[in-house]
Amino acid sequence: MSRPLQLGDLIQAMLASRPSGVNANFETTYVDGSRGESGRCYFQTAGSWVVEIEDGPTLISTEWASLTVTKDSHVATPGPRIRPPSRPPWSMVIPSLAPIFGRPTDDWYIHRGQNSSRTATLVLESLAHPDAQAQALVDLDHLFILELRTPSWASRLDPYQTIRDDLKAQLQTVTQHVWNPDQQDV
Amino acid sequence: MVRTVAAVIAGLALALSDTASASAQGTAQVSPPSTCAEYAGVAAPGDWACVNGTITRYSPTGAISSVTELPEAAAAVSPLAVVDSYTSNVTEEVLASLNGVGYRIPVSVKTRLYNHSPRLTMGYSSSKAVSLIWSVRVRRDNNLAPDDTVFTFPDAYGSYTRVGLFTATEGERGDGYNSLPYDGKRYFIDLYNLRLYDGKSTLNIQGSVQSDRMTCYKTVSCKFN
Repeated sequence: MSRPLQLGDLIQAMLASRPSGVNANFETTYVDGSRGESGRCYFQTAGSWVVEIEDGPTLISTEWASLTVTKDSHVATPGPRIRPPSRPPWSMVIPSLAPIFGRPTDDWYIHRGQNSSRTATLVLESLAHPDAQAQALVDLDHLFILELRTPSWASRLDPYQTIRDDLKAQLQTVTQHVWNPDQQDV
Repeated sequence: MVRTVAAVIAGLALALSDTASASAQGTAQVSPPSTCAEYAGVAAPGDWACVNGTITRYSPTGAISSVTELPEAAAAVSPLAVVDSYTSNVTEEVLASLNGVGYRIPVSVKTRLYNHSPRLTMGYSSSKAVSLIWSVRVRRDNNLAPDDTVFTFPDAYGSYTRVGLFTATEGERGDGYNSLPYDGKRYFIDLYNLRLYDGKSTLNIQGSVQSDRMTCYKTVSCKFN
């Protein structure tokens, strides 16, 4: 049964939420029928993560370095850390990145919300176009955004409990072998 | 990008009211302005700013009193700004009147693509001391729906105590490293949340300066097209 939601409390909790040991599948589809970035991800923390994009590269980033591994050639390109962007899956696992809180840099603000036992449904209104609405489904236990639906696209996050060892191993490889300022100083 | 007919009509109505007051003072009948440059010639007294066809007017307290769009705002970004598949160079003028001083400030953004990492060279020049502050983001260009922000850079700004050229650079291996998506959609760089500060007052300017559109593919580099 749905009941009124303390929106202020939920917003504060979402803005403060940081992931730890999160595994998930993610999928984005556009209203034109095309498929956006989809795949699997593993977030050890907000700053150390692996995002494997289906038909695209695998992005692996720690606090100080990253590897971009292309799918076909398996070429691994080292680089600086990748700052988590404000799009799925990052914005669904780290909700403070989602442009839905009515901040000057956001696209949406939360107009109203309603919760059931484990989730909350938030109705979003566009800051630029008041007639445009979107919707977010939030997991109240973990504060992930499970679904985000806008007029032009929809994203889904399916977290699962079992740690995917292959993604975790890729992250550990980067952590151990890519340039590390602490090692450099030794 | 959504442009409502109502907004354009509202813009024309505002322009007409400004030109009507000019006509009432005995000047010749002129057609409504369709660009910021034309609007600057007929604007009523008071603080205002215009960029890319979006006019912002302010009350004496500095609050935004109206936002309207000229026909210029509905026009597509000129493809002539694309230098090659990996380079775009766009310049737009910010026209404004603040505390009785008129400003004409060219704002430019040069975008060079390195795979999925943009290198941005942004800046403005002004012959009068004024600080322009702006936010920078990567946006997806959606047809007939609001655009989406997919990445936000730190703010950039110039000085209000001296004149000249002010630039800010975001390197391809800096904050925006690998920030462009891998999904085959069209994206652009957006200089928005523009603020003009003369040392006394700030104008929060609606409208933005946008790069050309690039397509960001799943397996090869983003390209302007």
